[in-house]
Amino acid sequence: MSQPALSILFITPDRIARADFSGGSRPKLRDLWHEETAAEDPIMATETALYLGSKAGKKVYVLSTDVWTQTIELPARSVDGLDGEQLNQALSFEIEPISGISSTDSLVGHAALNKSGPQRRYWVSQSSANEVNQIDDAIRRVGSKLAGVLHPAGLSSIGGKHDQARIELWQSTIAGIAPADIDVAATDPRLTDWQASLHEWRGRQISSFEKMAVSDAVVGQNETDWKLLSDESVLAQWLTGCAVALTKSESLPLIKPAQRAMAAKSLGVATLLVCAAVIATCITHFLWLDARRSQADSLSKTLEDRAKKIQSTQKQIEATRKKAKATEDRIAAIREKVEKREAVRNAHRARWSVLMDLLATKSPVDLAVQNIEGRGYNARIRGVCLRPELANELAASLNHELIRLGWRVQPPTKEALQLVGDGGPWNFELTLEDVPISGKSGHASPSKDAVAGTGGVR
Amino acid sequence: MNTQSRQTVLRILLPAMAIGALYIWAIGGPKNKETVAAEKKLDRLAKQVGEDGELILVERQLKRVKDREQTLGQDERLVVKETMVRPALESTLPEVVRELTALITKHDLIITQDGKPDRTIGATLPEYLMPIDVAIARSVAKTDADTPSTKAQLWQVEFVGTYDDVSRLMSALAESNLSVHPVSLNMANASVDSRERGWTLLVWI
Repeated sequence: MSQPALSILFITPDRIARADFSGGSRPKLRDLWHEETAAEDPIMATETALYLGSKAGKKVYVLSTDVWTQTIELPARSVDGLDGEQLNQALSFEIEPISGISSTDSLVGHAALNKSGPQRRYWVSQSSANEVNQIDDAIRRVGSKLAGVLHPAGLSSIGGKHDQARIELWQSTIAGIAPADIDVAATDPRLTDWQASLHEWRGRQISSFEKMAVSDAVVGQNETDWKLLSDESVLAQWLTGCAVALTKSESLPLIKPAQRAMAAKSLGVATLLVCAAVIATCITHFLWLDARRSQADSLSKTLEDRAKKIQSTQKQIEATRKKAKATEDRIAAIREKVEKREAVRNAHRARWSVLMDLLATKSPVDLAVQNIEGRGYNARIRGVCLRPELANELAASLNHELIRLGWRVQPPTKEALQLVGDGGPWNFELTLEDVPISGKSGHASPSKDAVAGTGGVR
Repeated sequence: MNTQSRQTVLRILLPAMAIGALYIWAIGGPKNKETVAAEKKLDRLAKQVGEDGELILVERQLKRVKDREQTLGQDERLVVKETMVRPALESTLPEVVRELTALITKHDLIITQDGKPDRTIGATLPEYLMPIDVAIARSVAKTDADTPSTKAQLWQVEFVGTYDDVSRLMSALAESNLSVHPVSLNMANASVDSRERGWTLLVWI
């Protein structure tokens, strides 16, 4: 059989009971054990109740009449702004004179009954911290967990209606519950005129009451119509209602066990786990950084390679441009050279024609050219003239025209033949020396019209 | 949280915090600095180098420049080749001689002898008949089958005629497109009873 989700241990001075419930929002009673007992020690009673049946529920609530409980009022200004733990401490000081339990050695649970007005009403429970801790230990030993300890007063009606108007009588507590109101007093009903309170309630025109008592011992002998928890069926119904109220986490003055210091082994495990988590985080962080670094390095290398390639390409461009410029310069130089050579070639092709024209037209009348002799690119002209200056005139005329065609005419040599009285006639010899031609000035064809003369070739 | 809880939490967290602090001090911090430095370097490089497009542009530019350089090289070869049109191809020498002979006879001159001269005193090949760039000319000649030969040769023609006819011949030769380049012209003394005389023309063909 599986472990129940919830167990309620009900402990009074003369009776103990244990009820196991299934889980869910509306717990169902699975088992109920109860027996009369005379155990005065709540710890022992708890241990006895735990072993009434098989394994107790995962969560265990202890409803003990040994817990002190009462509703109290406090000025709002003294409690406003306090959180739950601080309020418990404040309440423990407030109730210490009433409950007689030391505030420093007790645990308190509270439920706020109003949240406005000058006075605050609280439903407070208080128990010895030592007792609660021992109860907690006992429950832990059976593998369960103590969910809380509280007095059973005001927890539930018999029918399970939490706000059913009713009056509850417990060994040392009286509780009057009206819709949206609860009044709990830590007092023995046998010593109190609780009937007066009942009349007062009737004055509030509350039509129907449920009268519930823990046993007939706390009810007066003349009283009738009381539902007693000593009756098993009543007890079962009431405990089911309690289970519902506890599961719904309604506003109840639940005393929770003090947090235990973690066991050394658990502490070690927790420390190891946190350290492992931190180490894992560190490793993850390191790997993340490393991945970023690697990615950045990889991209940087790509960019560096690209930069080198661009630089190398730009150098190639520069070198190729220089090469192209050099080629352009060479082409220009070749073209210039070609132009000059064309001029020289044209001059050389034309100069014989020009020479013959000049000899035919520029030769003086008294001068005759007898022969022409080419010596390589030089030329020699021989002839005869009546006066020596005529040869000079011819030389000057020829030189003027032929120098541009690459012939420089040397001064003529003359030899008198002594055939007449003035020594004449004279033989002469002109040498045309081949000289370099300036390309720009060496035009091929000097105008033949420019030459005119009367001499000739004999 | 009460004191005990705080102590418990501290006992759990302190070793982990110590590990974390040690990691940050010894490993994480330096590694983070390295990473940040690497990323800064990357940013700097990215700003300097730019996108892939820049490299593509530069490579296109290089291609354009290389194409230009190649075109210029071809132009240079063409220019050099143009300078090599003279003298004529060896295979066309007979044609040139035939045209020269025709030109001489056309001017009423009578050829008495022609052929390669026995000696070539001072008749070195003129510069304008030499390749303008020997290296390129050799390269062009190697690769282009139709490149004219640079081997010119001397040709000598002896003929008889009047001065005027020879003068017209030389004028016609100068104006013609014949690949004939006069080197020298010898005119012999005239005979007593005739206007005709002997001539010797030496040319590069």
